[in-house]
Amino acid sequence: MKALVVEEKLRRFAAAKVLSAASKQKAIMFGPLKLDEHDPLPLPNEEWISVRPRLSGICGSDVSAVLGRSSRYFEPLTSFPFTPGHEVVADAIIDGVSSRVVIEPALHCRIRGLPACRWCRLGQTQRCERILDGSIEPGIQTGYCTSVGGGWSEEFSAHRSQLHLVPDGLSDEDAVMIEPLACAIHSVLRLDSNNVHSVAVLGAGTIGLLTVAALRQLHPGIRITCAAKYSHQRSMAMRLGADLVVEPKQLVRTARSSTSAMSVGNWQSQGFDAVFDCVGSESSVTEAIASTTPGGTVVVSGMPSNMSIDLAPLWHREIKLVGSYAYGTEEQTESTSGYISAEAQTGSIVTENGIRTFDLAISMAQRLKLGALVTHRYGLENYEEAIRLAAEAGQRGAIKIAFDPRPRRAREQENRR
Amino acid sequence: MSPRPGFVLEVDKSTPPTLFWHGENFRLERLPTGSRIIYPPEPMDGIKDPRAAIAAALDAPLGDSEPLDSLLRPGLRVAVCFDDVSLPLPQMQAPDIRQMIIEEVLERVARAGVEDVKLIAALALHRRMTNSELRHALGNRVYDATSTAGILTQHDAEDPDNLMLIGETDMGETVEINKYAATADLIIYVNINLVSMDGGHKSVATGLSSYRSLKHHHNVKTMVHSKSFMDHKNSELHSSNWRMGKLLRDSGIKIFQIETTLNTDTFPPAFEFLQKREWEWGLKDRASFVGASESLKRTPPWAARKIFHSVRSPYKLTSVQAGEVEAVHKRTLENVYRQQSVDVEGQTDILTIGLPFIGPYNVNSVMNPILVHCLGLGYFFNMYRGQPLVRKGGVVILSHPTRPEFDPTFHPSYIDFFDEVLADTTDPLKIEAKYEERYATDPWYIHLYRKGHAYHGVHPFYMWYWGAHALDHLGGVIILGGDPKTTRRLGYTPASTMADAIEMAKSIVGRDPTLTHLHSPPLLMANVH
Repeated sequence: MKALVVEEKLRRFAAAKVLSAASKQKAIMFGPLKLDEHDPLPLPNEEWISVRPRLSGICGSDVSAVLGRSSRYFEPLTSFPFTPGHEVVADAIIDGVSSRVVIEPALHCRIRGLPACRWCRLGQTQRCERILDGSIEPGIQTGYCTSVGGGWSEEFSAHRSQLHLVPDGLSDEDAVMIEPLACAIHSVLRLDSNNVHSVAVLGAGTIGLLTVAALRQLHPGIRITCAAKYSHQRSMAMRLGADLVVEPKQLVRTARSSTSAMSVGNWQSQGFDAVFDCVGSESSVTEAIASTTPGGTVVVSGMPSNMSIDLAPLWHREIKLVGSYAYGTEEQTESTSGYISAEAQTGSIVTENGIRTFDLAISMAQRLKLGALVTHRYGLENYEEAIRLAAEAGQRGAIKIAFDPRPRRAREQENRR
Repeated sequence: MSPRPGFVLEVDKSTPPTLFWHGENFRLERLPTGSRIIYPPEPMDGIKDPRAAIAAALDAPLGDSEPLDSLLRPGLRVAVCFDDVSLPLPQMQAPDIRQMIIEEVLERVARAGVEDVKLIAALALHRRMTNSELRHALGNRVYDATSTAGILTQHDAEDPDNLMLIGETDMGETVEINKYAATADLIIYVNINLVSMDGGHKSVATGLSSYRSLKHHHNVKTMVHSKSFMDHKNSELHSSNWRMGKLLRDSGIKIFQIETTLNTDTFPPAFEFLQKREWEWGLKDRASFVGASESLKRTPPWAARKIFHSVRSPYKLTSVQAGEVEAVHKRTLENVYRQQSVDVEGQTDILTIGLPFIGPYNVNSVMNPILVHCLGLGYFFNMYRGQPLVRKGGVVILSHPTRPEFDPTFHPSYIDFFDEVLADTTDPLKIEAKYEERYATDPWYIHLYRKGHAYHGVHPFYMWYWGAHALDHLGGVIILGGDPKTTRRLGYTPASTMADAIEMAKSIVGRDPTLTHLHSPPLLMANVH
């Protein structure tokens, strides 16, 4: 079977990092990602089954990894070689029945065959303490673990508990957006929304747009300003529920003018109650802090890396900086319960700890039909062009780029249908 | 030899390329055969002894006013108000005409034993003048004697303790002006009437007023019905100010108006070629032009701005008149028109205008895109009497780089206006209804206006409304050489060459259009028959 594989070759990571500033194409060519052909991976045990991806998204974190731009923090939490791809809609045979599934990629205690750690007991699987132990190699998610493979392949291994049936009525494109939507929902719910009236979403790539959508669904009364760089992002942000869309460089001034704040230098007397930084860069975190009202919250949703920023404004204006990684279980609140009661298709959504984010995302995806965000599809053989487009998505008019890893003949048959 | 009047040239094959202002540089454009170029009159001779003329005007006032000396006596409170840095353009060589008049006025005030006197820069909602600008306008002697003694002040339209409600006109317009001036026994207002819009009742009713008073005439409806605002009898802007002026007079506020006119000798010898007709350029003019334009091409915009803003104009006083407001203003207008008027037969399909580096609101600063709009469609478009130079549905081609540059100190609300308001709509009525109040009352803008050197938060709105009559009248606006993205944000079309611009204009006005170029500098006023 064919699979894209990231190898642990430091020189290739270094080459990708150096070259990516000048040429994405060369960075990919000389980087650590290769198209490989090998036998399917052995299943770790009987709780695992083989799945065949139909569509597998390219996430910003994947692009960072492939271009050597990820924080080295993740290195020991990853096992090489690995096949990326954690936003996956796939075909699977479950108990003899052919099914279309989406993958919840976290590799937590249960999946590793371990007793639940304190976080997993609470359903906060994204904080699992045992991501280095158990029956499989280290890895925070499917797509970063050598034992299980990932979605950028014709076939990989998934634990039965990772599989969620795709509801009828959702296309593959709609379904592949469920995983990133779950991330966005979690980041929205990381914010204590009491006394929050206005928020800003900085960045309008996939996560930014999904954050706008999740905010609008979960907090209909909040005023949402989205900072989007490109025209297609701006129109999509409005479509998904933003009240106002501005250019990123205008966000700080918009925070001031919308609150009639006083301002001098980098100090502002008021701003947005919360800002979701969906970029994760030095400048975006700085601007998010500058745009937030004293005592407000900055939620870091975009994957950050090494950065040097002046935290004096954060300190002086007592702003909370909140990280948001993946998802797990959410507290049952008025907004989540209200949404579920209208949307729930199954009875398994609410657990003793709350509501599983992934279930909430499946439910929300049925309302939002987010397949329109998938702007480009590529076969695995065209991975260089796909990764390059993903790295330059905004400026090239793209949003979500996905691999269709099925063999060419299957893809052609699907297209004919 | 007396100065030659303005005239209209018809372009033929022998006509040399025409000079266009292009921000901090120039363009030479060859206009199509048959086009018309309106050349301004040459600068009139100045008064040989301005100080004597000033004294004479104060001694022999117009209208029913007594001479200034007769109006002054011990124990009076006197407010000496003067036009701010927006006049003249560029700033004039020292001594500024305000200096000469105020020196004479203050000598008479002192001689009469008046002790309660204040100088008030009539800013309205303009930015506060800097100390060096005040020093230049008033001269060292007046500035040094008044600035530290609390005598020299700048009108603060947002200081509730220093505003006084006078009442309402019969049209329901609120009149509120500077409290010191309102409670003074005499207001002496010193004008520089660079264009016919300036002066008259507008001096006090606008220059010393507040937002809640100004908004009665600084609005879209008024501006659309000011045809043009350079022609005060056909200007709703002026009608409103005249009603306010009458209310001030009826309320017992006594104004001694001093108005002055200048010739159009705008640039010193290094830029003499700017004011000459192109076919009369000598070797020295050609060399100056080539030297200036080539070096400016290699100069970054900020440095070119610095060079141009350091220019001091050799303007000369052509008249000074004092006394009762309306009588004075009538004489002033005659003198302005005497210098600036050019008769033009008929309208044109396409009007071309080169926009300079400076307008009334960017002295020592950046000509931002909103000010480009104001200068082109507000000021230059309205330099007519009778009917607009360009026909209804016609096209104006403005030449200016129109970069997305702003001065955050002088124009903070302009930045938000450009980013927020114009991104939403360029329709003046929608802008007025949706955004004006919020910007006008934004405490940060008010703070910067009062404590810094910022134009009031509402000022970019007025600049946009200034072009409302043109927007209502025109079929299209093209900016030649304008930054494309910025030009589009203004709602206009960018063109990189004059040929392209004319082709674009043809798609609006039809084939074989007539084209007229408004040549500047210096300023001219077209009497369109």
